[in-house]
Amino acid sequence: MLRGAYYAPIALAFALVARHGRYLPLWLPECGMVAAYAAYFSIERARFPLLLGMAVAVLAGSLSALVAHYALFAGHVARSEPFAALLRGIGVIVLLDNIASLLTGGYALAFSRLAIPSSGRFRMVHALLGSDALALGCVPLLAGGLWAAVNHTRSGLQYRSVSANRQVATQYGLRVQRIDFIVVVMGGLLCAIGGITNGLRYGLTATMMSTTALKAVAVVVAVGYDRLLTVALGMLSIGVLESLCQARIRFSAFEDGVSYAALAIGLVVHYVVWPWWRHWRERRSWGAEKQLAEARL
Amino acid sequence: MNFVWLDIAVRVLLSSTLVMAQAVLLNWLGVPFAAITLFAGVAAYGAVAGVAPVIVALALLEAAFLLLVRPLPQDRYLLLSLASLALMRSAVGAVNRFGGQLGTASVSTLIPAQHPTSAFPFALALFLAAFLLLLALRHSQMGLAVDTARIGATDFCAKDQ
Repeated sequence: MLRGAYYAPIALAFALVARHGRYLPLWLPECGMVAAYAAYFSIERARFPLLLGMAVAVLAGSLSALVAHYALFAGHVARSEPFAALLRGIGVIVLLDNIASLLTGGYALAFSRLAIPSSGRFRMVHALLGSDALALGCVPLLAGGLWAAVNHTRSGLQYRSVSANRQVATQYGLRVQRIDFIVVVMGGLLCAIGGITNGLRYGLTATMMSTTALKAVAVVVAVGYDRLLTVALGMLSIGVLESLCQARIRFSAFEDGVSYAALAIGLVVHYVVWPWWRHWRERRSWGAEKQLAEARL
Repeated sequence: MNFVWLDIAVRVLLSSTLVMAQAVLLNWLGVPFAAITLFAGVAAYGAVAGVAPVIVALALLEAAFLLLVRPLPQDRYLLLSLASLALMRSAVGAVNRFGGQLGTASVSTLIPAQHPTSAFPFALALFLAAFLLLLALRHSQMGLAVDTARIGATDFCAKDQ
């Protein structure tokens, strides 16, 4: 479940921005990588104080999300072009991964100053690290907080209105640009948290968020981006399934395939099986009504 | 030294053939399928698994992807193609008979592994065949028909959102 807990903030951010822009922001998890690298360079290399370094990292994550959104994706969101946005997102991932790889000469990095101690009061269970406790604590907090903010606040209502129909929301006088800004900043912030906790646990690599992005897509597509709590639960389930696969030697190679299988099954169920089932039921009920009408006649 | 250049040439020819096949699907036919290497990868296991099972697997894959063009939106279809590539890699990696995650060397005597001299004529023939096919499609009536059909197919779901 821990593994899923590390991915959960990324999946939540993904769901938030995906619902808002009606596209799959595959690029968004890369903001977590930007934040993690910013944390490394500010804390480990430039020797900033921890709090300042963390602030710089979170700021870098949010700022990168804002820059990417306004420079590359805002137009696609306004014009409802999910395919073009996805292709551009893939390009951004490749570009950022290569920049990160160039910065570090292709080597993996690890936090030493920022690493949360895994002994003393931070050590809860034998194998549980400090960052694990942080990640586990973040899941209910972020998922619950975000769910409450989206579904039970006035700003959440505005967010849902813009997500449902941008044009109508604009005509009704909602400040769409402001909501865009807040959603992208929130998405960047969540990804920054996810990226830094991921970096604490698994180290920093240039491609650290590429596979996580696909895992987030898998969960969000399979579950639906309007169900934030289910997205968090889905991500935890993916983590559990991956760990189960890893635990059995026979299935260990299929560890990465779990999320891809979820994505493929989710897509087929959502776009093929479910519409077909609905159509079949409608036809059946229509046939029954026709028979009843004929019997009455 | 010559072997190095020959090896590079074989790689470039094979990669270019794959790019041409991908371009036909993605750019010309307009199907957002981004995993042409899935078919190449499955076919490559023909040397280990046998030709018949590989042909069946390829036919099933092709049928599945053709059936999904209409119901899936463009971006979802592209994602599915990428996911199927990674899924197949994981699935084949889990089979010990195919060498697990490390893969297995080709047992073919026709084109021995790491032997670019014997692979070069085949790679060149494959490249030229794909290139000529593209040229023929471009300058034939069928090519014109495909262009017209692509422009006119407004209800083609995987193409239009």
